[in-house]
Amino acid sequence: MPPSHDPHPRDAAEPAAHEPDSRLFEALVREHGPRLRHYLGAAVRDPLVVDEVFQECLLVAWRRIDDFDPERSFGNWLRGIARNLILARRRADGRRGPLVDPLVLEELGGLFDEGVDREGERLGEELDALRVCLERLPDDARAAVRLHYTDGHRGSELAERLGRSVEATKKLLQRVRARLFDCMTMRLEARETTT
Amino acid sequence: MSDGREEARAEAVERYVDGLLERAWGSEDDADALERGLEVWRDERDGVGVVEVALAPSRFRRLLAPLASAAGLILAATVLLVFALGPAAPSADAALARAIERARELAPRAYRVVHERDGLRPRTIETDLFASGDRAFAMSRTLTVAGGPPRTLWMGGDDERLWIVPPNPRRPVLVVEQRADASDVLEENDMDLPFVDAVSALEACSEHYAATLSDDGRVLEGTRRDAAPKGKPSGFRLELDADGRLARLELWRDDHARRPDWRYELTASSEPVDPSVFDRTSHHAPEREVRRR
Repeated sequence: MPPSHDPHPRDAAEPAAHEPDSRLFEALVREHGPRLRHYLGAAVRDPLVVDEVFQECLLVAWRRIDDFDPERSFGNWLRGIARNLILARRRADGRRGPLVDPLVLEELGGLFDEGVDREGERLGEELDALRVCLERLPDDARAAVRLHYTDGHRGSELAERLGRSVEATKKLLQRVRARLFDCMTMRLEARETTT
Repeated sequence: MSDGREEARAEAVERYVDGLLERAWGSEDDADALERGLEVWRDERDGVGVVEVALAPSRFRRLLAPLASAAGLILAATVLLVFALGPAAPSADAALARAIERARELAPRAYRVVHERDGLRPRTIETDLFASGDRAFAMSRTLTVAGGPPRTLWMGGDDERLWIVPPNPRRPVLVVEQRADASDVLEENDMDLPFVDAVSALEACSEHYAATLSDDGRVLEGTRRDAAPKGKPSGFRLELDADGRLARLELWRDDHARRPDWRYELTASSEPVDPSVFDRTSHHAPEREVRRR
């Protein structure tokens, strides 16, 4: 709904002096949207909030499209908008809002800015690298990943299936993710140096 | 690197890889969410919600602008004149003025709202509007996103404030004092709600139209004058009941060259209205947080 406090409500009936290119915008969103959702999921976790902020982010980006510098990465620009929306929600909703520490959000920004020159392909490259790294995991670690992510087992149920305590299972998954990250990083860096 | 920074980095890495694993092996599906996001964006681009902008400001903006409009004063004077002159054949203006006065009466009434929008993404919104004159209103909208449960947003207001009960039960009920804030909240909740009350919709017909009244005095039809501001509805048709009250009002824009065209229909219901519908506390759990904004 167009905000009614806008002194010049955008009415589709009024010819705009400069009409943004809808098709280009949609193409850019299709290209960068999945990685934006990955960023949002990492930042706020709650799927409902992820969807809400994602949609809000697209609306803000569309309204401010004239601010976008085509020399910059569109994905990076979208993440900047998303970051501000998350922090605004955190301020507005307090403890009930997205539970992300601003320091963690900053670190996430750094992680996602890796490979900013290849934003469009980055998520696909990351997933390719991850799949290779998953195959190289020890059997027990790979089984834990499969039980957790593919089969959807969590908490004590997952621990029982792995024959470990809940705490030990949690630590195992943390170690697996850290190991996968190191492996992926090496593969992605190697790819960058050879392409 | 400080401990805090190291911990933040480790947590960020954990979340980052978790998101990738959800995509590689888990159930995370970006495609559907991407389409939903684009649909919301298309609605924004195509101007869903233009009906609120095109029609006269809601009566509930009286919170911001307590002065009666010049049009309202003229209409009130017309009503007085008609009553003073006796039961002569009513004019279109007088019939409209009487319908507005009837709509302002404080008895709770229910209306069925249908808002159809043309354009690149045709859409129809149907909802119920409950109004007590121009003092209080309430309306809701339920959306079902593919794969998810129905989500209902309630919104209402009175002379002092507006309240919004977001569909996400974990989010607080919001109480705002300005309509603009309410619009922001609706946007944040991805809700397009044509919250134009009956009085505002009728007042929208009072200016900029050449109106005619049928011989039986029950149907008014108006066509926008050439000098009317851009964006105003192209025309309206108002059906009145035997007491001169709104029975059905239809407003539309069909300029064709202008996008999007739309139609807004308000049909009075004979169903009794529970007055508690105007109370925000009737639409949320008692323990739910209420926050002023």
